Amino acid sequence: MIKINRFSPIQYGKLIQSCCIVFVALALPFFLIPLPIPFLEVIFHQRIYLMLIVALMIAVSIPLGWQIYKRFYHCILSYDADSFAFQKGKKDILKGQWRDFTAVSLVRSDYDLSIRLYKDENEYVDLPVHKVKLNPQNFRSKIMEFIKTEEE
Amino acid sequence: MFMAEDELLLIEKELTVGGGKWIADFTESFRNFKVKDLKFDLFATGRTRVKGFFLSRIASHLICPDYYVGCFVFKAKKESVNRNILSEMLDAIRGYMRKKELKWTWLIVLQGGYAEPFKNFVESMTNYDVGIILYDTSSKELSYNSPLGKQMAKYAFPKALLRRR
Repeated sequence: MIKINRFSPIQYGKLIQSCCIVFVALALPFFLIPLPIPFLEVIFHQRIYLMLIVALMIAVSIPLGWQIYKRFYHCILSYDADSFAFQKGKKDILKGQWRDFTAVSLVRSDYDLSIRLYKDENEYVDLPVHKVKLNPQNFRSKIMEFIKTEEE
Repeated sequence: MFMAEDELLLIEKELTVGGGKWIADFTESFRNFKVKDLKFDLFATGRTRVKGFFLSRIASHLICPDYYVGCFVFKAKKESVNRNILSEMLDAIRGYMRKKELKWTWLIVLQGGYAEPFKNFVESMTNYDVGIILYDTSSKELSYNSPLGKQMAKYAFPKALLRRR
């Protein structure tokens, strides 16, 4: 039986970012749409209404933010001894067989580490393992067991 | 007490995300890297021009040359490294440098104990293309050549691997 490993931790930073986007989108009309003065007075002078509106916006922005996060940011890495698939949001980004690659390296871009899989000297794909909170060094060791590294 | 893998991991981390930045911006590292018939345990590559943010990027662009550089790490297994093996490694490294247009490289050798004449030989070498660092895993001491090896030993070799004074 083939064991498929799957990693899909929640990226809380991106989730909060998504919720904030929805919250700001809901709050913007209060600043942009000219509401009647009496209406504004009721909202801002009677604190209970203001708090109710903010609570309502938070209540709406959490599920909507979650949907945005799942659609655009949530990353899933699944692999077994033969193949791997890395998905970001609702679309498949990377899919491949370990045997198609000849070498593996660890790449740093700014402060994030990714795994680089080489098909040949010039053609490669990057697996952003930091997005699924995997230890890149340990994961590289696993990949090196899967593929035979041949370098000149 | 560090295991062999820990030593390599520490060196790799120091090069890519630690003090290695004082030498070059090492962005990529390979394990079990083959050059000719030799297999190096670790090979890190990068450029001497660091990216940085706004001001440091401008300063780096104006001051630093944009050389492609590399660092090979070799952990001695059964056979201890001597002059002949070192010469083979340097030949292989220089061949790779020519092929990939690397300007500078470093060779770090990890081994438990070195013969005194061999250490003196390395320390007396003056290479402007390859820096050599010998790390004694038992005494935790470094020997290096000048000028490249000295700079690597001073800034980019992990302090955790050295004996505390």
